Amino acid sequence: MTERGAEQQGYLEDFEKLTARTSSNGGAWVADLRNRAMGRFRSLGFPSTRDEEWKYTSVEAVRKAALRIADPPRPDAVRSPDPFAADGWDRYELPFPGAGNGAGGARSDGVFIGPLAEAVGAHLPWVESHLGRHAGYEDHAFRALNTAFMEDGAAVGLDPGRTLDKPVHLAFLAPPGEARNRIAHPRTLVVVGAGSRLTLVETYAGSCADTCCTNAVTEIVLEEDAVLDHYRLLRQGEKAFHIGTVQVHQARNSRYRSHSVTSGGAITRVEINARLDGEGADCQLQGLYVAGGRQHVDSRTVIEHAKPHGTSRELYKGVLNDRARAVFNGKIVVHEEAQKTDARQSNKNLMLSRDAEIDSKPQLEILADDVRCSHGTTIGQLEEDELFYLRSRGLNQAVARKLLVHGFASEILDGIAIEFLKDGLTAQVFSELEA
Amino acid sequence: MLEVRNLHARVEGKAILRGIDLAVGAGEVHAIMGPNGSGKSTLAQVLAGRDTYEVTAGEVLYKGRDLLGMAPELRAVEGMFLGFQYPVEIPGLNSLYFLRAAVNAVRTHRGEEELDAVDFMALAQEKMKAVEMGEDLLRRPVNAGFSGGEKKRAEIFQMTMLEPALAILDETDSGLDIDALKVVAHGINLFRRPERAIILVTHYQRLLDYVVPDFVHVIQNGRLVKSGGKDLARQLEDSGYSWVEEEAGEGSDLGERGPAA
Repeated sequence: MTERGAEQQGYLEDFEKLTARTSSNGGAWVADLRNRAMGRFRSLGFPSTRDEEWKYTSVEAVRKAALRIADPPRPDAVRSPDPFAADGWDRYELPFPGAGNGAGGARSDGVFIGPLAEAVGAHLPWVESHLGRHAGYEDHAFRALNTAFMEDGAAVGLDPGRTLDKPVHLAFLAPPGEARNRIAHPRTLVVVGAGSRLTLVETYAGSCADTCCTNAVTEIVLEEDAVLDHYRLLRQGEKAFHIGTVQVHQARNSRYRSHSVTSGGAITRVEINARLDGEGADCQLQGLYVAGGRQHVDSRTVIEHAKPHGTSRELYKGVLNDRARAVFNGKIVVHEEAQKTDARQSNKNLMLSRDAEIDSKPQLEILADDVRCSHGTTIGQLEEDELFYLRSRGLNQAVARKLLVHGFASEILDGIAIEFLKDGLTAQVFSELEA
Repeated sequence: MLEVRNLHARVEGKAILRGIDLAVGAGEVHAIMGPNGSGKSTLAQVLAGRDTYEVTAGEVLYKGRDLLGMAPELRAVEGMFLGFQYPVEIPGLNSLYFLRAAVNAVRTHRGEEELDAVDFMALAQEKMKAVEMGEDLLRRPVNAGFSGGEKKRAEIFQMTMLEPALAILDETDSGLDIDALKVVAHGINLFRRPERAIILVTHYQRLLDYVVPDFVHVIQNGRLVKSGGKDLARQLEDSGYSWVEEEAGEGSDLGERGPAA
């Protein structure tokens, strides 16, 4: 058996079990999608650092770990406690793994919030028209795997003109302690109809005893004038790997605002890609990554302006301590047709240790001639002037440093409009640096 | 309160302070005047504990204790305050949060209870009135986007909140129009008490029209070359620093220009 064959063996066995189990759900198109994606994974194999897209992030440990999917997720599955759950926070909540059919969420006139399997089984038309159509897996082994194995996850669909009274919270939690060498492939589809508004909170948390991996894909479709506020918050255990893709498709005058906050985890890679495929679409990406120890965090974004008059604003900030390593790769593509595009991108890094490392790579690809685009990267340390100013007011060095780091990160954290999330998140994010 | 003896300091190998002697008692206001580059801001920074400057000789006693061995934050909680010539802007750090942390650091050190948000706000509102500072400034990040005058008022406001025993105000008057100068001076005068001392570091005499000093010292080439009463400031204003230079030039540098040079 070839090396690739050996490393794929477990995935093939799992895939056979899964297809046998799920064949009755959803019809031929789902089975077809799975098979094509699995075929793609078989020929791609896991990426290596020789692959330009994975140059700075090695997934050797995932490849070698012979990870297996868990038994079918059960509605009564035991889950880790949710660090993002706050008392008094009113929301539609779906906890994973194993949110069963009929569980949680809402199914009412023009609104569906529920498990993906239920949405597939119910033959909801928007599911078939969008699931697997946006997050391309042809050149991406992890998205191919997720597509082949998609089972547990959520579907959220709003017909035109709907506004939800509260946010939707998808809480992805690793099973507690005993799970070993597991990989999970949570899959989410969100379709916001014309003129509808939604606030979506995806959280990923929990730890595992040894190598485990969450390989998540979220597809988002915003129809004309739709508005989505999207929070994607990560708080995974020290041995956890997290590979995630958010793929956004934006129609005319739609607005997408993303707040992505990453802390914890051994290796984390989050890709957020938005295609502005209608005139006047607006995309705002805000990100914060905080890493210490030997953590590795890779943030990749692609904003693709395909039609005129689009605007995009991107700000990613990073705080790195100890021997942590971060990668920022932000690409803005402006197609020939996308005149009058206004795109700005910025990546700012605060290095708290001499041994920390950042690879920041902003990229502009502009094919139109009447556009306004800018990008910039800064990498700096705490300012001595600022530290001295705070100390001269009686604050000791540790407190002064902490205030300055918080001040640096607040530009992102202050953008979190859900107060119930903000305080807890701030505390979690910074516990990383104090450990 | 403060006793500076033969203080020498340098930065990047360059001697800036070259033997400062100064004694400041409780209840006194001292003005230290001098041209640009004379070392007056360096003196203020060294006293506050800035480690960019290396003290090469001399000693400083504060309330009878060795000041130079104390960390900047310890000097602050022990009652020393530096009003910065150029207060730094710290985007992202809320002024209220910062100042309450500072006030409570001082209170904790004194064995007093911390102020809660409500009591702190009441105190802040009272003190802000004295320097005619708008409350909106407190809701903004520390000094961020403040005008020059707003920054200086904010420094005086911080001083009145922290209630130090010794305030060193570094060019608090520079960049202020006459109305702002009066407001700042009023704030300083309200702060004057028999148990407190103030050192005004300034280039110009005009602040001293409103905050009348007990002593005036002229600093030149890192030394205090002349000391006197409040009239000395007026003499400087009328005749500039050159006459002091000439007077001081008579032999004062000879010690270092010995045969080795």
